[in-house]
Amino acid sequence: MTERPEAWDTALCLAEQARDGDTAARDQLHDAVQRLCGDPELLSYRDPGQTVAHLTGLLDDLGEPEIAQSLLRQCVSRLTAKGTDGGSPRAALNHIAVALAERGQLPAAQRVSSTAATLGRPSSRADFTDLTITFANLAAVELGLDDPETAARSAERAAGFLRMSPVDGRPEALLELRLRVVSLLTAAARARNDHAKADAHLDDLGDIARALVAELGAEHPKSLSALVTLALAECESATAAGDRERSERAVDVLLIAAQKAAAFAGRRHPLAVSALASLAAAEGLVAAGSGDGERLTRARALMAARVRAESRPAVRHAAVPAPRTFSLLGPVRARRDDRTVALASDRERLLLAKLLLNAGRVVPTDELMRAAWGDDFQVSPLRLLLFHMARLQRDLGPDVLVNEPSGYLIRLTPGSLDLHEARELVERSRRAQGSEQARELLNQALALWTGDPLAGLPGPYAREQRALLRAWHVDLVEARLELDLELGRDHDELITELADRVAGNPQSQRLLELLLATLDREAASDEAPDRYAGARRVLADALGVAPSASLRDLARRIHEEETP
Amino acid sequence: MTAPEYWVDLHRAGQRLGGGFLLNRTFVLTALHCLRGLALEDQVDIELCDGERVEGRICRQDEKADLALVEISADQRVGLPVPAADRARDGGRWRGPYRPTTTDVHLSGLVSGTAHHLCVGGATIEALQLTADQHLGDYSGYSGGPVEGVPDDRAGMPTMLGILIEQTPDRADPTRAANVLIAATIGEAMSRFDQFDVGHLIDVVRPPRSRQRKEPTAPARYADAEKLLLQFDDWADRGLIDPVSAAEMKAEAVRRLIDRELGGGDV
Repeated sequence: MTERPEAWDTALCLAEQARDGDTAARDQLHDAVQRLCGDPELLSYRDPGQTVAHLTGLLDDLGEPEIAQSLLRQCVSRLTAKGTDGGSPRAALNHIAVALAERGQLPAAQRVSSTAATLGRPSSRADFTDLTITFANLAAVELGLDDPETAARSAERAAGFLRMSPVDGRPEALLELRLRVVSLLTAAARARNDHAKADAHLDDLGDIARALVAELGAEHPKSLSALVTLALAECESATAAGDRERSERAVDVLLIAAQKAAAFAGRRHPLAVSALASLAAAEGLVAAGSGDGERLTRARALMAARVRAESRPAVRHAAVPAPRTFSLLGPVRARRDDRTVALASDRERLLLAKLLLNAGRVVPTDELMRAAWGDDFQVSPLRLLLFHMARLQRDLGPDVLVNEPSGYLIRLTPGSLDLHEARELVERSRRAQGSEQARELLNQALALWTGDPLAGLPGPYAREQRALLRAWHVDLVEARLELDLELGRDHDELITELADRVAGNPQSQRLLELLLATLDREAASDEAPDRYAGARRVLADALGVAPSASLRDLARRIHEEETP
Repeated sequence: MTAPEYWVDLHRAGQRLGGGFLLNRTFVLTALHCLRGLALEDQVDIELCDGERVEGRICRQDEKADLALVEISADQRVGLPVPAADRARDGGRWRGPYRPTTTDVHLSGLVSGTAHHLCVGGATIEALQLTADQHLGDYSGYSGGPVEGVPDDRAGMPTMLGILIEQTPDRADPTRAANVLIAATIGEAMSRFDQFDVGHLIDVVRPPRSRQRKEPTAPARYADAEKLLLQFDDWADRGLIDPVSAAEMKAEAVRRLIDRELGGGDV
């Protein structure tokens, strides 16, 4: 079979209708994608990669990242097991890897590209072109993952396969691929601080761009695209080498290229969007290098304009500001107008978490980068930061996520963040001073936890904040159990819950103290000495500490009561 | 967010010439007739919308399309933000942020369409036909000003669509102007100046390797001649002379060098 199965057309059609505001199509879309995933002929046609990338892009636009993810998983698994019908599974995997990388899922894109790289030896000359793209994709992803050494090796392999690619056919296609590979070699050299090598590659890039102009003419969109690639690479290299004059010249050229692309093709055309993104990245780099806050704000505005241009005009938010709610006490989530906002990657979740934990305060750009990338990046992730922030701004609204000269500020309405709501409830509970109402308020606060705080987020910032929020959760549980004990909750129930919690958190001396006190009150203190002895062993083994003075006192008192 | 202001007033010897607008930090686009007969390389004063003044020189003129380019002095490049360009939408709203004086009205109206237009100077250009809401009779003071697209939503930013160059005469009375204006599209204006040519811009970003040599490798007695040859390339790059003239001058210089080597005159 070489025709695309109908299930694809159905899913694509529904996704496009949903994107244009058709709610009925949106309701049917989930089932359509599920049916598609179960279709045995899912990938039984030539070159399914482009369709996969198209549909996942639409699902992303619709705020359905989970469905997109499930589709991608299914496709990768089928491709590696069965291949496609007549087409190259490597080419299809290449498309999927690009789709994943564009969604910010770099580790997944890396896995898919690695799979494509090991699909067997090339059997035709066209395979060398596919392999070139595979290793170029790998190099791009590895650069994004701050691994320039591996990226350099992948880019070199791409260059090697490119030399074996067929030279017949469309010369401009080969020139475009050369442009991409050499720009990756340039970026990898720059990331390794090998400026001499980066400069040599830049000369090659210039020659390739000139060859494209000679082949296609200066007014061809691909010539303009080559100019954008060259100018951005030049700006990045010049900034890394501290050459301000070269950087500014490249920014000037990028501004002209961006205006030209939008003037000829319209500002929503992918070429214009890409040129605008490159300009924003270059402005951001130069501004960061010079510490020019006003210019950095302009760079952010440009990136926001790029994201706005990328959005289809049909996707419009309601005229009335939609309510937005945020969660940190579990997986990091944002909802707008009762729909989950698609957060494309852990980086975006980390950035949102950092902003939410500092809501109402301007978070400087470098703090955001540290939260999302840690301290060990070799190349400044400013460009990626601007991209993610612009996406977040598009999804949350510029009234909520605000550009400031020194960073970003998130403005929340009361009750829109679960953490703030929990704090408010805890404060009201404290004011209610040991009453039944105080216990109820604490229970309401604890009910806001939907899982482990900042669940699944990697990196030192997330770990640190998670530890703080977990500790606070334990404090609240203990406070509520104390109230349970004071207010006379059914002791059997209380002992059961305490025993469970002690088992789950054996190092908490306060929980054990509460358990022993409850057992004591319940006249079940015959269990207490055993519990105490067990806890003492746990504390010694796990923490190397002795029971606290209050716990020792309580145990001693129980023991004395038992032996008159 | 405030829309960027990027229009300028051009002056010469204290006299206002007309309007124009920033295409980027370096170049101002205007209608040639606003410059009132000034020649290439003539200096003009550029008054930015915030009142600051910078110097510029007329670096390109296109008489057929009635367009001119003014280059801002290298040490005075401005940092004002410039809106993104776009293609006009037929039936969409437009407005002109530039007005000759603060007591004049701002122009606005509808984009009737984009079509080829035969300019008074003889060029056929891609142009916007614009109807104006304001019946002023004479719109000439607005020439050289930008035409902006009005965004559909309040949060959207305006886009740069074209440059006002002409007004259409009233069909019933050709001595009077109709409220239909002609603007060259931004794409058309940019395509008329080689400063915005992709091939040229590639050389600006990364000069060809042959031109990157900092020191002449030729014997010392040819060093001056070689500098002169490179200088011709540089002038051609900067648009001071056209590439054909540069090639001719280089050939002439080499011819004289050979003459000198063989006992002729100086270079």
